[in-house]
This record gives sequence, structure tokens and C-alpha cells, in this order.
Amino acid sequence: MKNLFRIFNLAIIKEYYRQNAVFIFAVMMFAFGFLRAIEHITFIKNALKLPSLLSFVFLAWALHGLKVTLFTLRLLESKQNEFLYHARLFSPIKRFLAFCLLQLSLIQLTFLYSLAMIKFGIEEKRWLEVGYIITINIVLIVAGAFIYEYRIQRPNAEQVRSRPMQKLFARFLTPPYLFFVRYLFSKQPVLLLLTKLFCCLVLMGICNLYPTDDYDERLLALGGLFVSAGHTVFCQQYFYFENRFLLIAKNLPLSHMQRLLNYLLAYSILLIPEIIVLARNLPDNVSYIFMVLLILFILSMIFLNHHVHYINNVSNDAFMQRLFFAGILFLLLIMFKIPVILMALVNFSIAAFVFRKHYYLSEFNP
Amino acid sequence: MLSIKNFLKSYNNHKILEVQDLQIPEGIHWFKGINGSGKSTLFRSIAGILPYQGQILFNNLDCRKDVVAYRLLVNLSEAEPLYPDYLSAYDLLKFITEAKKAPVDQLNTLAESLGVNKYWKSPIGTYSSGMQKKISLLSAFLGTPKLIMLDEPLITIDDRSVQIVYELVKDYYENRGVSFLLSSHQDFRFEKLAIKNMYLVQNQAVTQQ
Repeated sequence: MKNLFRIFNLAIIKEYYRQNAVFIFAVMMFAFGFLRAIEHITFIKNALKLPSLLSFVFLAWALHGLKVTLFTLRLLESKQNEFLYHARLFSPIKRFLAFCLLQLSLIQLTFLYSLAMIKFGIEEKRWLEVGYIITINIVLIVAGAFIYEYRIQRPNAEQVRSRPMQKLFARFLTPPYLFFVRYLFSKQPVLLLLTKLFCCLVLMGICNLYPTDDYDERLLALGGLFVSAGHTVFCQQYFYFENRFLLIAKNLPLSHMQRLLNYLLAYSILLIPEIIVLARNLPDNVSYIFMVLLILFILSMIFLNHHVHYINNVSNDAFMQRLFFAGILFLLLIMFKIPVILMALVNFSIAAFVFRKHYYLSEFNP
Repeated sequence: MLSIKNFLKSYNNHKILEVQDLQIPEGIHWFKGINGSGKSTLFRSIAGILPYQGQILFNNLDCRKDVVAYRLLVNLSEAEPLYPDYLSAYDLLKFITEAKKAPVDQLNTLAESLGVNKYWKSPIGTYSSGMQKKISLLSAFLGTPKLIMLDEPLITIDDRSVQIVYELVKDYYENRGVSFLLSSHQDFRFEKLAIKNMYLVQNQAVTQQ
């Protein structure tokens, strides 16, 4: 079993944490940067007392469990991981235990938090709630293991699930600016859903907060900043997608302008939910012109974030540091009432400059 | 035709290939070398896919400066192509056709001759490796290139397709003046193709045989 788990560790667990470094960083920043220890303790104690809040926590864990399960299934589908089907040659018990360990390793983010909740649950003598927390963890682990077992017994992906959406899409010609959008729908549906959910909720929250006090348009611009930061993971996925599956595009005689336009169209399409949410929830005394400028600002931030990925030799740590300081800089610029359209124009210009300078020199180092 | 000067390709400070000065004339050329010798890296660099140190010129067009004009003339078929499996080959080939400014009906003609049109509207994920390879080979013949690089063109495809590839290479060379760089660790059938030069890629260098 040790060897089997070692293979899972190298092929799946490491890959998951590598690809989701930004997501985990964002969660950690929110959980331990934005919230203080005392707030966590209050939250946990309330969750242990209120079944509705505890259900909400379980729902979040279940969504996270679904995310890691879908990620593993996606890896199992890829041709380069076909060797993992050799796991079937191990005894069912060893295999099942290895799958349980695999799932446990992947849900560490929620599992470790659940340990803290169990600790407080024991202190507060909330035995029933502690039981629920232990049960949900066991369910998440065992359910994941059963799903992987089911999948590993069916090596041909086409046997496992039909793909009605793919068949439908295949009837129409996909323009190149939709290649990445379809990648997200096909390969990262949970990421797409969670990111869109997060960004739309942020915008709804900001729009509803606006009329409650004497706020000005800077509050909406701050919301835009959070939304664009939420799209960082898409920028990383785009860079990965291009270098992994569409490397041949670098051999195509497309001008810089054509390439930039493709990126712009792809991200504009991805921003449609936010545009709808903003248009429907826009505060009464905010003009639609400002809304358009705000959307351009969000688009420009994402655009800049995308293009800085073409700069070589920037480690993940260094990238996150730069992202953090850039966020602080834009926060200050917004607070000093710098017009969003001015920031958008500067962002677009820098992005185009970085692209021209680095695109053909960039290299993907997984 | 193709000029490579002071070329150096490294990964993580590990030298893969170094070429001081290599002038390749028009014609069909065969690059031979064992697995991992750097053939694909060289081809990908010439195609403008991989960054490198040095200078690569094709008909005096610089790979990095004349990005559009250069790429209209230089095409590549990869050894082991990897495409998005949820797209159809038709989606991908239409994109390449448009980008390469291929003449009308060229795509259909090539697809028909290689038998790609029988399956090209299904998602790529349902293809065998040979079917994917044929997509890659087809894409290299699109447009009006003057240099086509076929990296391991004969692997994974059936005998009938091998014959078609030979005929396409011959036709493009004799009737359209297209030069070819072919890489393989297998022997090509010399009677079928007029191989002009053979280059050996080994010990991180390229030498003419």
C-alpha cells in the first residue's frame, strides 16, 4: 500500500496542491489574515450551538470535497495518468485504504479546521455535534474512495459518463476565444462555479452595502478590486492551459493585437455573470457610465494579471508577494480617488507592453 | 534558407542543445538522434514555440522579430501532440487554417486524403494516438509554408497514412518548393524521398553527416 500511496501522492496530491496554490493562499489569507483567532473561536462555538450554521459549514466542506474529487477524476481521465489504472492489480482492501488516504490528503483544508472544531466541541461538551463532524469527515473520505474505486474499475472514460454537453458543442464551430472558456466548463467546473459565486456575492454585498451609509463610488471600485483578485486563479489556469494543450498557437502567424483581442474576448465572456449582477444591483445614485468604467477596470486588472504570467523565473512565492503588494497599491489609489478609467488604461497599456516583451520568451516550468 | 547561429537551449541551467553555426539549404533533411537527444527541442525552437538564446533566421526573417511573416512560412507537426480533449479536431484545424491564411478547400482536401474528415467533428478525447497524430500532420501542411518540420512523422500512424505522408512531402517539395526537416530515429525509405542532408543530433550538438 505504501508504494501505491506514494504514486497517488506524486501524481495526484502534489499536483492538486501545486495547481491550487493560489486558491489555498486566498483561503488562508481570508481565514488567518482577515479573521482573527477570537473570531474563529466565536464562529466555531456558534456553529456548535446553531444547527443551521453547522449545516452551512458542512455544505462548504462537501463542496470542497466535491472539488477535490472532481480534480482527481479529471487526472484519472488524462492519458498521461493511465498508468494509475494499474492500481486495480492491488488487493481491494489495500486499494481502498490508499484511496481513503488520498482523499484525506486532499481534504486537509477542511479536515484540519474540523479538528479545531472537535477540540472546542469536546471542551463545550457538544458530543452530538462532535459526532456529526467526525461522521461528515468519514463520509467525505469514504465517498471519495468509493468514487475512485468505481472509476478505476472502468478504464475507458467514455463508459463512465456520457458527455451530452460535449456532443452539443461539437455540432458548432468553437471560435478560438472560447477555447479557454470551454476548458473551464469542461475541466474546472467547480473552480468556475466557486469563483463566479464568490465574485457575484462580493458585488451583491458591496452594492447592497452602498446605500446604507454615506459611501461613494470608491466602495464599488474596492469591490471591483476583490473581483479581479478572485480571477487570479483563472489567469493561472489560462497560462497552464495554453502551455499544456495549445502550445502550437505560438507557431501561428497571429499578430500581437489578434492575440490580445482573443484574451480580452475570453475574459469579457467570463465576466458576464458579474456584469449582470452589477447591472441588476447597481445603487440608484450610481450611473451606468460608472458601471461600464468599473467593468473596464476589473477587466484591465485581470488582463494585467494574465500577462504578468509570461514573465519567466518568477516563483509562486514571489508572484504572490507581488500580487499582494499590487493589491495594496491599487487599494491606496482607489482611496486617493484616482479615476478607475485611468487605472484601467494604465493596466491595459502595461499588460500589452509585458505581452510584447515577454510572450515569445516565456516558458512554462511546471 | 535556414540559419541558426549561437543557438543555446537550456532547462534549469542544464544545457540541452548548443549550435554555433548551422546553415541548412533548401531540400528535404533528416535529423537523426536517439530519444532525448534534443531533436524535438530544436524543431520547437525553430517553430518559435520555445524560447532560446541565439538567432534563428528563415529566408532572412527573424523568428522573434518578424513574428507573423516568419510563422506564415514555418510550420511544425509535433511528435506527440497534446490538444484540448473537449474540442473537436475541426475546431482546432479551422483555427489553424484561418491563422495560417490557408487557401480555400485546402483543409478539406488534406482532411479527405488523410481520412481525418471521418472523425474530425468528434471531441479529440475520443481519438486514438494515431488519429491525433494525423491531426498534427495535417496542420503542418496548412497554409503556404516554405519550411515544414515533421517531428517523428511515422510513429503511431498506419501504413496507408505513412504512404500518404510520403506523397504529401514529395508533392509539396517538388511542386511547391517546400523544404522539409524530418526527425526520426527510424530509417526513412530513401527511394521515396530525395533526402538531401542528414544531421545527427547527439551530445548536445548537431553535426552534418
